[in-house]
Amino acid sequence: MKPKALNPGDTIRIVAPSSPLPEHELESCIAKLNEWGFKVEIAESVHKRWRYLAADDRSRAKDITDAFLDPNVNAVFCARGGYGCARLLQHLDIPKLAQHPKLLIGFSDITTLHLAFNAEGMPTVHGVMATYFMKEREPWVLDSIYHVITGSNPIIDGSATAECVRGGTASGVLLGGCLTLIGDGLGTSHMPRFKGALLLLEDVGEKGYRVDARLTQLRNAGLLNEVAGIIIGEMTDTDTMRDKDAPEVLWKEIVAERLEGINVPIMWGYPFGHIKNPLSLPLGIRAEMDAEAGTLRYLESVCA
Amino acid sequence: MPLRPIKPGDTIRMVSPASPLSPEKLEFITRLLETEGYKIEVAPHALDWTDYLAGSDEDRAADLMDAFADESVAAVLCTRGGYGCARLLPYVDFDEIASANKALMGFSDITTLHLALNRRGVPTIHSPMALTLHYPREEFVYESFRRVIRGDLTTPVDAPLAETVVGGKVDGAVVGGCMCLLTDSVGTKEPLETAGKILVIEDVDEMPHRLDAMLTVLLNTGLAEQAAGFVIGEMTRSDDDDKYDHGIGRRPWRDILVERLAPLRKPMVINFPFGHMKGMLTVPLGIRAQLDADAGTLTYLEPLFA
Repeated sequence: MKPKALNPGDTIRIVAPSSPLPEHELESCIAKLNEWGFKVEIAESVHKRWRYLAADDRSRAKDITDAFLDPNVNAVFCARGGYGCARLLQHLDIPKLAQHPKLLIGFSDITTLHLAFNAEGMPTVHGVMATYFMKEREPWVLDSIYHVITGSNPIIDGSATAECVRGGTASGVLLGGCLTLIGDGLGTSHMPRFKGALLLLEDVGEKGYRVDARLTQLRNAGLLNEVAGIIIGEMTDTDTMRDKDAPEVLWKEIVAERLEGINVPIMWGYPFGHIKNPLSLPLGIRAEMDAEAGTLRYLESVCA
Repeated sequence: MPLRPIKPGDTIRMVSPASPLSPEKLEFITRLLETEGYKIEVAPHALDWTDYLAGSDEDRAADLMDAFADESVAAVLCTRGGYGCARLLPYVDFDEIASANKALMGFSDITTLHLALNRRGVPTIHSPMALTLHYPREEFVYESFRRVIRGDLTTPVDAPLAETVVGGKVDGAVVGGCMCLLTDSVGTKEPLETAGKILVIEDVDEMPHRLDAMLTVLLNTGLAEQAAGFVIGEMTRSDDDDKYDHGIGRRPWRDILVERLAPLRKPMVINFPFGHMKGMLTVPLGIRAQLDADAGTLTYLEPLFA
């Protein structure tokens, strides 16, 4: 159930499944997508605002459902994360939507949708969202998202590599994203099987002890013990939020300690997630990691 | 199964299964309990300090296990919460601890331990800790704590009543505690179990959207639907101006709790005095009570101690 790659003239619909954003923040994104030859449509809830959500749950869910079921829409692009995808699960028929596979692009809070669609066998894209088009980035940032949606290799030559934590190579289906949302997904019926997977982990704005608590939850749930490899991005801002009681603990120390005894290849600093220059990484398809080289290589394409 | 009673002359041992604290924080609670006639012991590693933890996982787990195993100890009191109980899961034999049938006292991060014991049929006590009572509290806080330790489950008359969100009465065993620990337990081998139970929920320093996210976890997993009723304390400091993510937005915590849980139409009260709020009752967990959501009261239907 793989989505189709986009061709010039195809339509990308921008949806807002989580928090609201000022509409002017979409301008650079729309301009770039147009420049690449795609038509851009804006779903209704993008224009709204309901407290910390872009719109009420039914409206946001309807926008996603409509985007997947509309034969004239070729890809579904999330405007931003924030919070709200978990509230949509009871309003979405994910198995049905996954029968209409389309490129679903986003990260952060969108992790909840990635997990739910990946659980149904549809690959998705842990990719940049609207605001990433606004500021100057390394060239690989936009090259990577362009490569993904046009069906070519998203790992751009010259992009940053990771640092080795535990050496070795491993291959498996790439799954994961934002650590908090993975923890929140446990116990729901919208989780993929992590056995033998390569686990992607990153987060933003979490205090060190909460990073510890979430990794401990994944450990206690047995998830960390069944994956084939772990690819960590960054725990963005965690080191600047340190508690005055424990100023010496850095996120890497916390993560390294919590992953002790997990005897699989592990690397961190891989360029994805809440960092300035992320790659856009397909999820739900097979990839191979080489922890010593700090690299990731896809073994199949996200597109059919 | 009712707990071993705590009688004057009995020993209460203080342990630190989560975050560390300095020795002077133990003084007030020690005096209070000694005045009541109890002997107080401090576990060997209770004052250890390793970053945000009160020593290594192995040592914290050993202190906890030893306190329950030692026949001379009648009850186990946690010095503080913070963070760290979830890390102990691989090191603690909860079946063995449960078989000792002793009172475990504490709250906040200690919720993780309450869940593990309550699901084995062992009652526990959601109570103030050393760090809690280091700061001045209203008289009913001390009085409630003293009463529950004696096995008197009546509520001091000067304690405030909870407010009705959804009216009605319901009976059930009381379970719950600090919400982020309740949701962190999901998927682990010591999970929150709510079927037919009265779920008590409170938390501190959570951003408004995270409160929503955790309630959504309880909804998406069916745990909220399975509960018989809801007793909400306070989401302490969640409405503070510095407590929300400016990129996401805010909403008063009461509105979030009501919006997510009231549609289930189960008896529900809010501002029940327990948890991280200043005026906290001592609340037995794992025994049956009646929630009267119209009156804003929780009345225990069975004894805590044998």
